[in-house]
Amino acid sequence: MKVEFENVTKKFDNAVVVDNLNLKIKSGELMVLLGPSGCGKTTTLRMLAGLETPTAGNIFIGDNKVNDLEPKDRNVAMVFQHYALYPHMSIYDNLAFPLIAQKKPEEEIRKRVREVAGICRVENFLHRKPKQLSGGEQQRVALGRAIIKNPNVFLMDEPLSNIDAKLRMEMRADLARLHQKLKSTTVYVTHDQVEAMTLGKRIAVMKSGGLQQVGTPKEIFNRPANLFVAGFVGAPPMNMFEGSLTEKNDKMMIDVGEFSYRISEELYNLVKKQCTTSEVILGIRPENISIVNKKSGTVLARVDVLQSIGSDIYVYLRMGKKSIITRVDTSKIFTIGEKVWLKFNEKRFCIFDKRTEKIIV
Amino acid sequence: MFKNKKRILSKQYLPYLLLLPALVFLITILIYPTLYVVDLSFFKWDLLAGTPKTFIGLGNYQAMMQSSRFFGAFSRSLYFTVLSVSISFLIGFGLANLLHKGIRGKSLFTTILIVPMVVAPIIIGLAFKFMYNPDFGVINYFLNIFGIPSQPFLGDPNLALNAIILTDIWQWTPFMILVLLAGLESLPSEPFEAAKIDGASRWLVFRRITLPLMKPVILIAILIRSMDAFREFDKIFIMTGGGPGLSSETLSLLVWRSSFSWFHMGFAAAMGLFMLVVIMVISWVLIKFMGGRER
Amino acid sequence: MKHMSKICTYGILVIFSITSLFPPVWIALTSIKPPVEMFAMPPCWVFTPTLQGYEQVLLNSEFPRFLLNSVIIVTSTVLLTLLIGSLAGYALARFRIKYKENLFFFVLTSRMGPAVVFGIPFFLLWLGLGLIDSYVGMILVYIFFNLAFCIWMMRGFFEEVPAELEEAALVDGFSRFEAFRKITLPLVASGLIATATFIFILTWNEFFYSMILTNYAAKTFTVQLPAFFGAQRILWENVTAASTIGMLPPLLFAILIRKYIVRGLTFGMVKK
Repeated sequence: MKVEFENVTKKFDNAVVVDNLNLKIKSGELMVLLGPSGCGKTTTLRMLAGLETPTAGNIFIGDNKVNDLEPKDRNVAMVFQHYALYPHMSIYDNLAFPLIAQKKPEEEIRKRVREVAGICRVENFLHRKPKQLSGGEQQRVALGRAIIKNPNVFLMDEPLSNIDAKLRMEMRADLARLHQKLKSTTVYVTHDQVEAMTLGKRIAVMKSGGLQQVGTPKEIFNRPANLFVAGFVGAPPMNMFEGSLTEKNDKMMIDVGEFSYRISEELYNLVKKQCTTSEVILGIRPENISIVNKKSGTVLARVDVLQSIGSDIYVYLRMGKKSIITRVDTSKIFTIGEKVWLKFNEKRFCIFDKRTEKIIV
Repeated sequence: MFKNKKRILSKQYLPYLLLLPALVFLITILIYPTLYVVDLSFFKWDLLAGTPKTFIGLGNYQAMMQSSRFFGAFSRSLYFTVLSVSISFLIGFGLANLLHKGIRGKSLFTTILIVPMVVAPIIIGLAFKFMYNPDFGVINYFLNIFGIPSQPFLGDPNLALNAIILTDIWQWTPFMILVLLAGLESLPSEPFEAAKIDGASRWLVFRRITLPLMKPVILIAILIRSMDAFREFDKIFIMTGGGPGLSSETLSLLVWRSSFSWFHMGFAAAMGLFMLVVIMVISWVLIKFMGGRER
Repeated sequence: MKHMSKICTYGILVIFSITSLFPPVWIALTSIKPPVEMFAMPPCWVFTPTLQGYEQVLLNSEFPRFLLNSVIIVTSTVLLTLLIGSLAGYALARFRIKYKENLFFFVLTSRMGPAVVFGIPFFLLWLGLGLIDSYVGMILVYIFFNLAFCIWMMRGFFEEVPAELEEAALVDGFSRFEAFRKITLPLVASGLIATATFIFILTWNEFFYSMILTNYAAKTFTVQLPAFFGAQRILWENVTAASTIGMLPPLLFAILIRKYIVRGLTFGMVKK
């Protein structure tokens, strides 16, 4: 079922937590709500569940307006961050609970519970209580409880944030597989941008209650709508240089202080037209900076710190007062203090209007 | 449209609906009597004499301030409170520390400790009255064994109040033990481990780490017990009734006597209010302190 | 050296245990002593037990009546206080209510306020309303005495049940009330029992309010105890028997909930 938020606002006392949200989620899509803590993503999810009511605006599940519907009437399922398994009930009863609410017959409940327990690989725990299970196992049970009622929409509130890193990867794969199989509309909340990028078909980035950008991971990565999205997504973060658009000796430049980058006339005109001032911010991701020899390089910088993460090396460089990060594979060897030449992949430039923080190109 | 309104109503106002009976109750049955007492304290009302209630402003308070009996009772209340609470605290803290070291049978011991606290104070008063008896009381028997002559505990003006204080200490030292023990057990282990590595002596650890960390619990224990000791009535009533003479008449006894023996309602109300204010001050101190650290 | 201190410790603890148990046990023992041996000095440790005191108290006096009064009044108080107080405690736990400090002040004052003070207005008011010496009158007073404490304790217990669990139940398809009944209530059951026990013990042992507000019809057993003081002498055989009977219920219940003793004694400020 599709989900739509229409001008949804939520205030707690006088604090605006969700600000005029307009978002359309397609049926069967896995939409990730991504943002730092306090950005309103969890509140948005809870409004969809019916645990909070919007101060203004409408929420639609399918074609129905659900603003005033109780959670039990919305046919949604939710996986909570801390699992929220009923501690006094066995795993079997935890899984069966939604079906008991629907007053399904005993036979059917038994069948479904076994089925779902199998899917979530918790068949061996059915008679145990939640506290006897590990974090990962509890989360699988929570997932099972959500699956068992065949909901219209799956809601997930940072379900993997309490699980250790290695298990998290496995569960992420599990979730993706499950989504493939069930083809159900899923709204997934997280603050972890890696998780968002790997899971989501589309990502909605939020900050302070407002929607910053909606798009596929690729779109968000390569063409962030504003400085916030650019800085939030991607590790190591995008390099940002403050500069101004200048014209020097018939060459169009972006003057960053330590260096001036020459740009084509078309680009210059394009930027000049759309930019409110001539102050811009040039953004380029570490992945798109390469260390080359003097001939093809355009910028000179000094190697400052080297950080190896196994598969890559993060090279922190300094140029005057600016620091630049780039990413190279482990075959390259550098020494600290060494001066190297950098080449920027111009196709991957992101030029932001310094004042509005929005992207121009 | 109408259905929507009802649902919104129930969701928003549900908490207040749940609170309503309790609130009604508390307000009528708590606020009203308190205000009544305050009001009454400004009147002279002698129920026995049958004279009507007359407004005398601060007359009761003036009389109170000039009454040596009032000051006597108040000082006895203070004496009772301070002695009972401090002695039971010292014994209690000592025993709590002993228990904290890890004793087998701790749970048996702590269960035994519950007994003095849950037997009715009036029954305890009776028990000790029996035991203090100069002729057949078992306490005097034990004293005799050690060569001390029998004391008429509750009949001697010099001993009566102290004998009752001893009873109070007997009853409530377990409170101190259990509360302080719980406090000790809830202390984090890291500072102690660090001190061990630093090579601090046991006394130093106690003084510089245990005591400061225990401050909140100690305060809770002492203040709660003080409030209880200050208003103690049942035991004193049954053991001596305030006597012999006035030697064990605390403020609670005096207020009771004024209101239910002499029926000087206004005067009793004034003194009672004074007691209530003392209690409220202690409780306010406790709350402010707790608010500062937030549970 | 360490061995010595261990022995000392155990010694002190044993002595303290004996001291703590002695008075109640002594009363219980005395209650089955024949009157002659009750007053023997040196005290009798060996004697032929007799149930004479109990006979007097239970069969030849009105004590059973007052005991029944206690049972009725205290049970009603516990049930009503729990009902009103738990709902209020739940509301406070779940819905952000400000003024937590003020509420606690309220709680402490109502529970710790001297009975001699509140006794005056209750006496005068009840006199006017005709509630002296009535079940209703006593129950109302005891609810007053216990309600704030009950609200406060139950609030603490409800706060320990994460709201997430109720929300999960809502999303699973239950109504608010059903979620409360199936999830919250079972999880808070031990807290309810503990609070109920505290209310029971306090009210069962209560003396002052009962003394001033009852004469006969609603008199509780505590007030009857001094009544055994005869004209010439104290009828110790009756007093000890009655006392022993009266001691037992609080003892039993308290031991059952001993896990929560410290929590209840300190209004939830200190938890084990």
